[in-house]
Formats: sequence, C-alpha cells, structure tokens
Amino acid sequence: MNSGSSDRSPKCFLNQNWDRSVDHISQFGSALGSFMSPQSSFELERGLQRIGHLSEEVPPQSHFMDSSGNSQALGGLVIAGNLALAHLDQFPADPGFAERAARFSSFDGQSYGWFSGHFELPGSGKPSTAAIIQSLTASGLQIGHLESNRQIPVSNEQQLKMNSAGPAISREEMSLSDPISASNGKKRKAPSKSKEKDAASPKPSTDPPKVADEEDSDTKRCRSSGKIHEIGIDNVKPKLEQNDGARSNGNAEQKQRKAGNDKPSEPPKDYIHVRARRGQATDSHSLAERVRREKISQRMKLLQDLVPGCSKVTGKAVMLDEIINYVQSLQRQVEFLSMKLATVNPQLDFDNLANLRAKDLIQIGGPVPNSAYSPEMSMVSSYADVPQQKDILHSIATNAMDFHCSMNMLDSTGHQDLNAHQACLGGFGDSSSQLGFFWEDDLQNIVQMGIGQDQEIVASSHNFHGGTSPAAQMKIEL
Amino acid sequence: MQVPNSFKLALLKQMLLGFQLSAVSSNSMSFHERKNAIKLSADAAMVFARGSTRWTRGLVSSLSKNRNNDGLLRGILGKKYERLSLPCCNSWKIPRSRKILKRCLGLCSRRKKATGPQHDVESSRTLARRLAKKRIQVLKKLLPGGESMEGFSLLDQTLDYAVSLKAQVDIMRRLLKISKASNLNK
Repeated sequence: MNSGSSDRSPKCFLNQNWDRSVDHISQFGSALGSFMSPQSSFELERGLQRIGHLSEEVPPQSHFMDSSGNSQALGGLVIAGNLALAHLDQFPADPGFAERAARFSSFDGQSYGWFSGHFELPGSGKPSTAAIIQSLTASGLQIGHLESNRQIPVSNEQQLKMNSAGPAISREEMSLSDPISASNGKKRKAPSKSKEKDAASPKPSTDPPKVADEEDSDTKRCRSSGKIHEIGIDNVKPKLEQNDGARSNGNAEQKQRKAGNDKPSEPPKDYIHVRARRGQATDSHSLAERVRREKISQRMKLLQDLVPGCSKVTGKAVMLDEIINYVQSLQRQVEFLSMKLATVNPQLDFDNLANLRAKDLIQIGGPVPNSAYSPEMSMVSSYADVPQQKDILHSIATNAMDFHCSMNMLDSTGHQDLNAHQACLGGFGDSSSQLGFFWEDDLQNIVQMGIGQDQEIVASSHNFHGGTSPAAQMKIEL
Repeated sequence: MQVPNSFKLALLKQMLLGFQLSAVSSNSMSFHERKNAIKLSADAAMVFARGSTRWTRGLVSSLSKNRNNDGLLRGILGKKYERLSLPCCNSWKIPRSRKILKRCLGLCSRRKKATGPQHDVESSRTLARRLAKKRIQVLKKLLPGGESMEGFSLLDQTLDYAVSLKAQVDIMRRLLKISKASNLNK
C-alpha cells in the first residue's frame, strides 16, 4: 500500500463495524509473548483485550496473523505505540485524558508499571504509552461515531505495509481524542491560560468560533513543547481535583459515561482529580502542593472578604496581621459587651426578657420597615394579648431591630401613618405615656451609637423634643 | 453576614438560658462573677449553635478546665457536651510529632547552612516566610484549639471562628440595646 492509499484507507476502517474478537487478541498477545517476559506479555494481552473490549475488532487482525508473524506483530504494536506517541504530540491537551487514564491505572495498578516499562523498551522514550492506550480504550466507545480529519505522518512505508492496524489503531486514538479535545477544547484552553478558577468558567462560554484556531495553534505548541504533562498525572495515585466548574462538568460527563460502562454502580472514588498546568511540574508532590496552596489562597480570599478593609491588602504576612487584629478585636468586644451586660443586669430581669410583650418590643425596636408596616399593626394588636416568646427572640436575632431603618421610616412616613400608629398604641394603656420619653432617649442612644448617621435623624430628634408633651396623649410631629 | 439566622437565634436562646441558670439577674453576685457568667454563657451558646468543629471542641475543653464552669456548661450544652468534650483523635500526638519533625528539619537545615554557602542577605522569600510564620504562631494562640492545627485547617477554622465571633458580638450588642431600652421603660 502506498502512502496515498494508506491515508484514505483508515477512514474506511472507521466506518466499518468492528466486532469484538478476544481470541484474535489473545493470540496476538501470546504471539508477542515469545519476545517478552511472560508477565509483561500477559499484561499486554490484558491491555489489548481491553482495547478489544471497548472498541471493536480491528479487522486487520487477519493481516497481522497472515503477515510474517511475531516480529511484525511486535513491530506493529510498537509502531502503534509510536504512532500513538507521535500523535499525542499533536493532541491538544485533553482534559478528560487524565481522568480516564487515572481510572484505568487505578483499575490496574499492578500491571501499570509493567506496561509502561515494556513500552519503553522499544525506545519510544515516553513512559506512559500504556496509560495512553488505556485511556484511549476507555473512550473507545466513541470510536464508532468519530471522524478524524487529520493526516497521520507515517514515516515508514514498511510499517505501513503490514500494519494497517497500526494506523487504524492510531487513527482510532486520534479520532477518540480529537472530538473529545474539540468538545473540551474550550474548557481546556481556559485553565491553561488563566490561573483563576473563576475566570475559567466564564471563558469557555466566550469565543466558540475561536476554538478551532486556538486548537491548531495549541496543537503546534504542544508539539513543540513536547510535554505531555497531562498524561504524567497517571503516575499520581491519589489524584487531585480542581473544582473548576466548566472543566468538572465535562469531566463529570466523561467519568459518568465511563463509569456507566465499566462499573454500572461505581461509587464516586475518593480521589480528587486535578489537572496539571502548562509548564509546571507534574509529579504528585508538586500537584498536591499546588492544590493545597490553592485551597489556602481560597481561604485567604474568604478571610479578606470577611475582615473589613482588607480588599487592597496583598501578601500573606500582612493579611495574617489583619486577621489577627480582627479576631483580637472581636474577642475584646465580647469581653467589653459582657462587662456592660453585667452592669446593666441587676436592673434588668433577664428572666422576664423572655416574657417581653410585643408592645415593649415595638417600643424598643421602633416600627418595622415600610413594607411590613400595615400588616404589622394587625399583628401588634394580636400580640398584645398573646405574648409569643419565640417570635420576640426571633425578631431580636434578626434585623427586625434595625433602628436605622426605623428612623428612615419615621422620616418618610406621613402624619397619617403615625397617627394610626399612635392610636393603636394608645389603646394599650400606660405604655403610651412613656412613649415620648422613650423615643427621646432611644434617639439619643441611636445618635450616640452612631447608627443614625444622617442629619435628618438629629433633626427629627429635635422635632420629637419639640413635639412631645408630658401629657398622656401626645402627637409627634415631624 | 454569612451566618444564618438560625445560628443567631440558637445563640440568643442559649445565652438567655445561661443567664437564667447562672442567675445573673440576682443581686447576689459580684460584678466579676456576673461578667464571667455572662461571658461563659455567651461562649457556650456560641459553641452550641455552631456544633462540632475543631475550634468549638478546643473552646469547650478550655472552658471546662475550670471546675466552676462545669455546671453551667452542661446546662447550656446539654447532650452535646459529651460529644464536644471528646478530644480530636490523637489531638495530642499530632502536634508532638510535628514538633519532632520540625526539630529534625531545623537541625538538618542548620547543618546545611553551616556547611553550605553562606548568604549574608536573606532572600526576600525566606524573610516573608519567617514573618508569616510568626503571625501564624500568634494566630494559633488566639484560636481556641489552634495549637494542633496547621496550614489550611488553621485558616479554615479561623474563618469559622471569626464569623461566629462576629455573630456573637452582634447578638450581645442587640441584647444590650434591648436591656437598656427596657430598663428605661421600667
């Protein structure tokens, strides 16, 4: 077969229905076994079985068997590996790759070392071909649906000749990875370019038309850099996972698909899966450290949001300083407040606090915000009869006691509402006589506490002063 | 802010319960006793509302070191007391092993420095690291139960603790407001 037809022929392989044939594969494996140590050949066989299991039969098996035999078969496998490796350089980084590879390596941890070790022998120089094949077989489901539009740069005509399976397999790999990479291309690009996890998720949604161009350029970049760092994650036993929204969605799909096929009821593994970035080390230690550092930085960000006035602070030491100051100040505040409560306490009967009646609460807290104003009146009248402890505490705990709100409301309401309010409260009896005094004091408290920052509030307090009369019935004018 | 209202409500309830149990309202207590009782109630209420985390357990263990506090603690925490007073698994082994490790590493690095090239000016990175380490030590002392925590868990618990403290301060302030206001009415 010349190179021209070889380019075309693999396409027709794709369209065929490949049936599974374990026997061929086992024969093939055993044929190879004569050249290898028994153990590795067994592993190889298992690997090939897996290839056959998930994908369909490679029709050129017959070619393999017919051709001269062991050496060529071995050569074919080697070439398949080589081609795979060559194509890997072309592969854009595949986000699902690592997970798939991880999955298989986790399935077959023992044999992994042998696999990789063996494939290194033919001088491929890439340590994780086996993982590649493993991972590719995992996604072999997609093989029937995929089309590849890439050319295989086959160097050796002889190899081409007997190994139509080679390009076929490699084409299979290509076709597997391409659509996956195409589908994940968007998601993949973002993390490699930005460090921000948050930025990554909006990025995939933008510029879909650019993906194709980026893919090609990235491919070239991958080829030139020659780093298959994503695959390197295979070596990591406990995988680390990045919680990138966009990526995890894609990965979750693939994981589920795989899980569905391999183990229908597979529980989520305890691993955290992470993705190595371009130009960064990929051994397990650095990956683990990177995840740890990212967790810590995320916590620092949360702390930055919590501590007031820390948004501009950069640097760990200064940030820690601020956090320490904040926690210390909070602790001191607790001490101070408990001291104040201790002074107030003998006068206040805390036992009765639970029995506060609603009217007292309204006095203390002021009218509730605008929206709930009129319903509140009806509630008030009902409360007067049946004090409900739970609601009282609830309103204390929540922001129902927002003086600032109440002051604004007082400013904005017209006379009508206030008169209605007065009328309601007037019915309660003795409390109304103290209303004016209470408002005065309360307003002073508010101003002192600095809750009411507006000039209006001060002005309104003056109004209250002016408006109150020591008489039993009073009208408060604004 | 990040604290749900249920937390604040539980905090308030338990605090009031603690006030009742310790009878702070009666005139029989001195000022300091009252203040301590109030603070203890507040802390125990915060622990109750938060549940079981490392800092809550550390806080309970530090509070229960004082024998006087036992009754009040149990009263407020109720059933949770047993669960919270359980020490974290091997909580004393971890810091000890870490200290040993650090000592060994320190010795190794010191030996290396002695034999290796001498740097007159420390690199900025190591300086920053030392500063950060000092502050981390201070933070550990601040945080209840922080001695046994490291790195990420320390920051995580600090965040948790700070948020809970803020809610506690909030509730106490409101309580103060109410008590002052209702005092005026009487």
